[in-house]
Amino acid sequence: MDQIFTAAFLVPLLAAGVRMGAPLIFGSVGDVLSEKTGVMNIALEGEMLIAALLAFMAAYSSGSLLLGVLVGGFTGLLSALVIAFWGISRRQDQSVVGIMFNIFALGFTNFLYRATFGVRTERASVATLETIRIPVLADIPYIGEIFFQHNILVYLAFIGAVAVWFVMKYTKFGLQAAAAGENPKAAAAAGINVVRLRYIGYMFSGFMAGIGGAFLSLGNVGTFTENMSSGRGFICLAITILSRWNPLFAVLAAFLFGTVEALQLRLQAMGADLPYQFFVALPYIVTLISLVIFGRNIRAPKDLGNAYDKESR
Amino acid sequence: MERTPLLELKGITKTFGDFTANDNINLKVYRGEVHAVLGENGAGKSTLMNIIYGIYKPDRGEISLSGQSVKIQSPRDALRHGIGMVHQHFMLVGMYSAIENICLMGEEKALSLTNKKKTEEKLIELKKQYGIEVDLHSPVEQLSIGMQQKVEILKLLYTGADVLIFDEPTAVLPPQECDALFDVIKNLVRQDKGVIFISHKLEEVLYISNYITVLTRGQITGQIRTQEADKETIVRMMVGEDMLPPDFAARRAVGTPGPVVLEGEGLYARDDRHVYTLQGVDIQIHAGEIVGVAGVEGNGQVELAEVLAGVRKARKGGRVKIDGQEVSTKNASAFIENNIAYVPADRNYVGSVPDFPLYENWILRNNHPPMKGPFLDYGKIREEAQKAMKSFDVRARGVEERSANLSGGNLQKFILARALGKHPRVLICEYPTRGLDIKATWFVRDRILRAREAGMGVLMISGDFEELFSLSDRIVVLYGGRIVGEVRPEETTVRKVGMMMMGVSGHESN
Repeated sequence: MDQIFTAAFLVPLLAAGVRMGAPLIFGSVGDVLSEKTGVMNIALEGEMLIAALLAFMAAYSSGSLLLGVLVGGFTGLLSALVIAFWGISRRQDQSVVGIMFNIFALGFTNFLYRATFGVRTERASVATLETIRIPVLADIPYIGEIFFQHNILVYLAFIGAVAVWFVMKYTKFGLQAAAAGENPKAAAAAGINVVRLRYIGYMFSGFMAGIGGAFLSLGNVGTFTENMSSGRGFICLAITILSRWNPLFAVLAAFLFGTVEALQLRLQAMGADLPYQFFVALPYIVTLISLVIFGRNIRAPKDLGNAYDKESR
Repeated sequence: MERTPLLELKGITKTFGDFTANDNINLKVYRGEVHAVLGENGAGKSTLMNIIYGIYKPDRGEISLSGQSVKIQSPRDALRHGIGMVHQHFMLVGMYSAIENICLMGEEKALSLTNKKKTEEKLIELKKQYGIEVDLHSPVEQLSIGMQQKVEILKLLYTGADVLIFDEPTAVLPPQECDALFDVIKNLVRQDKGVIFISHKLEEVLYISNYITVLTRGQITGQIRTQEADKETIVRMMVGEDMLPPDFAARRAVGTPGPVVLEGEGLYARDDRHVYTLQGVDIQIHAGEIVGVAGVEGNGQVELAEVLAGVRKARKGGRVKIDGQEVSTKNASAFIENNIAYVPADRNYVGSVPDFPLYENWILRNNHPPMKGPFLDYGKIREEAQKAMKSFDVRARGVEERSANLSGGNLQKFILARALGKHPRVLICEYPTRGLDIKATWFVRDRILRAREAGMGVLMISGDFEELFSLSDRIVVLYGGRIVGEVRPEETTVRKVGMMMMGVSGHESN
């Protein structure tokens, strides 16, 4: 236990927490905006998973990581478009459509990966995104290593979170988006196109989830494994709630979960005297507990999850 | 000299299928005047307003603004032409402040920064100009209904509305906030706005308007300057010459009432905020009498009715007896079993389940619905509901209609039909005619009297003196959760009862 409370252990742990939290930031920040407009992105998990595979395949075949990341983002966006069509335009139950998509994504990625790469002992892999040291800041002791020595996507995650926060808080678009999720009828009466706003919110969420998926395959490991998202999409949904729909708090929560993930990997490696399944389960246990503790007295967007029908009274 | 009207409707006609909602409507609204449109539920008032506001397109007819003929295709068009509507259900985002709600509108680009400061300055100016006192910074959901209504009015003024349509604005307001609304409306017309005021309440129309148009079944059945109008003329315009207000008081019971059927002893109860609003009440209801309960709202009347109907628990050892047998107030089942009927104040959420069709609502508060073996006999249920709807004149598209789509009067008749359908021993009703139009009110009162005549005991809570005095055999007055007086309506005056309600004089000593 002694070795845990040393800088040599903690600093890399926190740095890994930031790195592992980044895909969660992408997923949850997008979902925050989407939920603000009134649509929950239950399909985050599936969108991330498909994007992780397609991003990897694009990078593998072209050799360009940038192309891979872009393909990831647009995969998420297109997935979201399909789901939005059913959930928003056709007014199907958003949860049902989302869960169906998650199931589809799992089967589809397994199939596509095996059909493309076959079953072999050595996994196909690509180089991972390179680390960018931010000049000056990276040299601050501890802080520099934790926050300023990461790949480009980690920085983009932070910038994206701040940008979404700013747009939501200070622009007319943000005000209108949240109005669509609170009281779509009142929003429509104020001249807002509720359906269009919800599409924008949802597709943005899909795009962000896609980047998060690309991060999973290209950011850390440079390869794709089956069910690689392994519940992160759902953790993102929990983060959205914990953050009380505030992108900045979502960053904090993502950092917490990233750190727990990093910790469990380390504890496993240290060979603690517990079955490894316990460590694997740790992030999910923390999710559950924190939802129970912090999930009270929260106020979700009032019209979250409801289909908006102009004609109804 | 003829002034140009601010808004003029010429020959507006609108049909839905073979139903004529508006038939050749002509109407003029001048600057600085309140034009009241009076009519029963379903008389076509809302249709007409929706036409002015661009939600419906008229089949025929013309709308002019300041003499110019205009086409209004959508609410946005209407706003652009300076026509604004205060809906009955406010179009406000609850968690936003008044300022934010108003920032939502406007023509700026989506990604432009919201300029709350500027909006606020303009709103403060408008507040001053029109004498509207309202909190601009708290989330509107924390404001009272009356305040939210003022936010709606501010919103319309902000967008530059010249004609303001108020769609039954007092229906949602508690009485003490109505006066404040009338003050605002007076200020609006003083500042040269034109106001259309829709209502089915005679008194307020006579009080606030300059001109009255009466709509009946889609047609104008009377137009008159308010100065020249009195209550009787207008009632005649509304219901036709052949119908006169029934004399309910003449049907007061003579002779002695029957035995006690429902009895409460030492009743204490808490309201929804866990405050004891009922503080020790003894009451007896005999067969064949109507006991009216008067009181300023919040003095325990509703809790009293709810305890006696079995939907609220009696506390501190209070007991309820039916035919001398004590029953538990833990839940309503014993009350339902003993055939105590209940017509709650909240028709939409307590009296019915808004998303259920009427035939499903029909078997609420019923322990023994028609069964076929272990299953509900829906055929029979529908049949029962249909029959009752016919005999109570409930106008709906059929038993499949969701109860949410019924107007207040029709829903109340439906609930009353359900309550009386089982020939209850006692009928407990809270504010039975609140929000109903004249004809529905008469209908409901007639049915309550008929119930009494059939030997039921009735407990009726009401805020309407006319109702209390013409229907009740005796009136108990509640103040501070206690009975402060019991009077016979023929032996007292409205003023005396009003004083008791305020807690001024204790018992009827004078």
